Amino acid sequence: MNRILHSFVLETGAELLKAFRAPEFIFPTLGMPVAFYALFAIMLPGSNENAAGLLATYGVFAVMGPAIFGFGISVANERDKGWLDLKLAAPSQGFSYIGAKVFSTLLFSSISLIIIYLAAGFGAGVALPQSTWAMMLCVHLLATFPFILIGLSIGFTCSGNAAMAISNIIFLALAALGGLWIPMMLFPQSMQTFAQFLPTFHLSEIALFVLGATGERNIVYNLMCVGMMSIGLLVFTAIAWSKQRSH
Amino acid sequence: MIKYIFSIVSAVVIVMLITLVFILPTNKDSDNLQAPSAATSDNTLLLKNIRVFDGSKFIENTNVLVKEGLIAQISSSIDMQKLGDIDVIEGQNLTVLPGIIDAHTHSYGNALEDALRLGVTTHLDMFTSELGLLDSIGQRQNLQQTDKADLFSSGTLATVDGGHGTQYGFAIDTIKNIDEVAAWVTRRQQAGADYIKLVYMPNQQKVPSLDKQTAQEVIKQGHLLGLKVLAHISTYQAAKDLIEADIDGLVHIFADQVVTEEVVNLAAEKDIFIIPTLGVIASADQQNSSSQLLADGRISGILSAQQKQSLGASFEHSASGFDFAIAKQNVELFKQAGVTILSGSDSPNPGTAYGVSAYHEIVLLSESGLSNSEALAAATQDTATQFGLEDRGTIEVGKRADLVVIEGDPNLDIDTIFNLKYVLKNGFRIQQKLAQSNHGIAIESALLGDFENQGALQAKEGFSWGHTHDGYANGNSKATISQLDIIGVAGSGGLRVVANVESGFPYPWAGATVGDFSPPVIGVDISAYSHIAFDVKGTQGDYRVMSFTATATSIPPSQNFKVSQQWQRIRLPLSAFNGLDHSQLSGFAFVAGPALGEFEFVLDNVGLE
Repeated sequence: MNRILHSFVLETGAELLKAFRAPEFIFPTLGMPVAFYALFAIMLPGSNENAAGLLATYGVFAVMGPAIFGFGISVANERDKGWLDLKLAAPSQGFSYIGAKVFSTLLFSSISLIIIYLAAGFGAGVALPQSTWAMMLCVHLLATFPFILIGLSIGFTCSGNAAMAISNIIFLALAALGGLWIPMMLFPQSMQTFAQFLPTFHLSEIALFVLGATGERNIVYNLMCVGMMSIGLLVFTAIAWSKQRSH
Repeated sequence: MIKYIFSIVSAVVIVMLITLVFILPTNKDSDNLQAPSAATSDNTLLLKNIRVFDGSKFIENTNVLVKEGLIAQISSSIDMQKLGDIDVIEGQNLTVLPGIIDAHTHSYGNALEDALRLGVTTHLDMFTSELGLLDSIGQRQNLQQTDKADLFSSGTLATVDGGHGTQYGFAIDTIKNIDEVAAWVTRRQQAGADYIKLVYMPNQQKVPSLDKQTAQEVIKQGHLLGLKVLAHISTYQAAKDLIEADIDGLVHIFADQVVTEEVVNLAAEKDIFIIPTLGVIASADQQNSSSQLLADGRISGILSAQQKQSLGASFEHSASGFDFAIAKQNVELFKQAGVTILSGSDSPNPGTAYGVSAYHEIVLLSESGLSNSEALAAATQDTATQFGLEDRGTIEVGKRADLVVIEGDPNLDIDTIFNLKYVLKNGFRIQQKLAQSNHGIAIESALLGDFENQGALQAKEGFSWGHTHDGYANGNSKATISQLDIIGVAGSGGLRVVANVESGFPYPWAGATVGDFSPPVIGVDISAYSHIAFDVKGTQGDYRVMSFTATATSIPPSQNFKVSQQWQRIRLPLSAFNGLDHSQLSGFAFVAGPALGEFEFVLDNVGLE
């Protein structure tokens, strides 16, 4: 056990070090959500009225980047280069490899969230009870996990180059069609129906619920959908992972 | 090295996350309220270290916890830790009263909004249209956020054809003979009436009235259905008749003579209640106390155009039988004998207004033998008790959080009740500021009519000339107007008005109007002008100019003028139209009446100066 922990700590340290040494990857994923939020919630005239509601959805957007790109592309690359095979053959545990990536992704998501929350609180003038701030932060952090699974699925199934393209497509589709950028109610009905199949939609609904935003929502339904999607992704990832191992 | 990176980065990020939660702005230090939080709902709050009038007595320096629209706790010590993040009103030098109940209103138009804005959270209506009464029952039972006071009502009133109550321009269900009474009372109950009101005005020739036997039958049938029966009376004799007939309450005090000991004792023995409506009696007796209210800076800013207009209005003539001093004396005598006195305003009669007059009535009661706390109880707990309103009227655990917070101590100085600070309805704070009123644009031309050219009667900036008469209010008067070339001043064009003023409406009128009365009426701003002036000649007699505010529907403010066979120029100061909103004038009317007869007059050179 101690050895697993030890290797997990070292793996995570290495992941972080890699990110610090290659900031060209991490800056866009951290900078884009806050830039979008600043544009839609602060700078556009009239947008400020819904700054809190937009924080709920852009918070989901903020954790998507690190999870999908961090996992999808890096796992695919490492797989491509045979580094993954080497790792699996080495005494290092599979758990610590994945665990380190999960943990460092959470850390990047946190940083991304901190930046966007600061922009909301001090730039857009959003004021909420402390308990609501804390609850929404938790929801956003937990929202990282479904995206990690999406990233892993991409990483285990695609080659490095394909992963780059597919991650981008999935990232943009989830964000735009899930209503993270523009409130869902502005969408035509058919697109609103389609959004029901996207985890981003349900996660943002959960965040909006915690916020107490206006509108009717069935929080149990949203939680169930996210749960089912996560389980589905988990199964898919597990299969891809075991194929990888047996390969 | 790598080992430390993990610990350091993790620690830094976790500390940042926790710090973030604590430094982000919360609702309290920002007035930029974004979204209502799920954690603390809006109808939950604490009134801290506040003086409480609980409906009968004062409690100094206590705390009142409102939870989801209901009063949850009243105690001198309260555990702030346990309450967590909650809206707090610091009660330093503030007093919280139960929401005021106005026990005599006629609630139509924006009555319930106007009342609630001033902290009158319940209206006991004593005659209104029965449309929508059933809806109001659902309204007053829930705890939802609302901008309206709750309504209880008698529905229509028991009167005869042509009797008091039939003059307001809409048909009402009258009682033609005594056999109809049972069915009539049942219809009231089915329409959603909470109690029965009858009009009993015997021994006078002006208007027909129910006779004594029929009035007794109304009381009997009402009681059979379990409804309280209340009566409009205006004389000692009428009151005596009905107290003997087991009436539950009188909705006015009589002011024609000082009450006898016999009747006082009978009233006490029968345990009736009286809603004196001193404010409207003061107005009928031309006491002019409402002009003080209009000028009171503490409340004038939150009065709507409708409220200002009805408050500024006055009865045309001092009516006999309304002696304000006798009214106060009678209240005092009944009170001393132990008869329950309740507070009601009878708004929006001339000189009264929704909301504000309920407070004025409390002050008048405190001048008529009631102590300050008795006068407040008359507008809260006592009224709730007499009308069986179980969920309101007191500040007790479990009661509806309809609350008024005022600055000062009304136990020492009753006038402090006008220092309105906050109003809560079902625990929700009520916005006291008026919504932005529709200011009309400034009127373009001061000339309203010189009648020189063809088409002078046609609309000009929406203003056009027309005829007006009380036929719109079920009266029988008629009027015609015509523009003629040579009848005006010095042989120029003028407007000929032929008015037949007939009886049928209490204040009959007929004549000509100028203005924009076609909906949506926005009105024009005439605040740049000080007078309306016009040339007139015609049938000798008393005439008046009525003025209309776009957003008000009550009795229009008027001024009288005399006409003779000779041309004269009349100039009336606009400021003397009491209650007219100069920023949204919809027009003027030049009419004959209320004296009956045929009148013919010519108007010329009508304009603002």
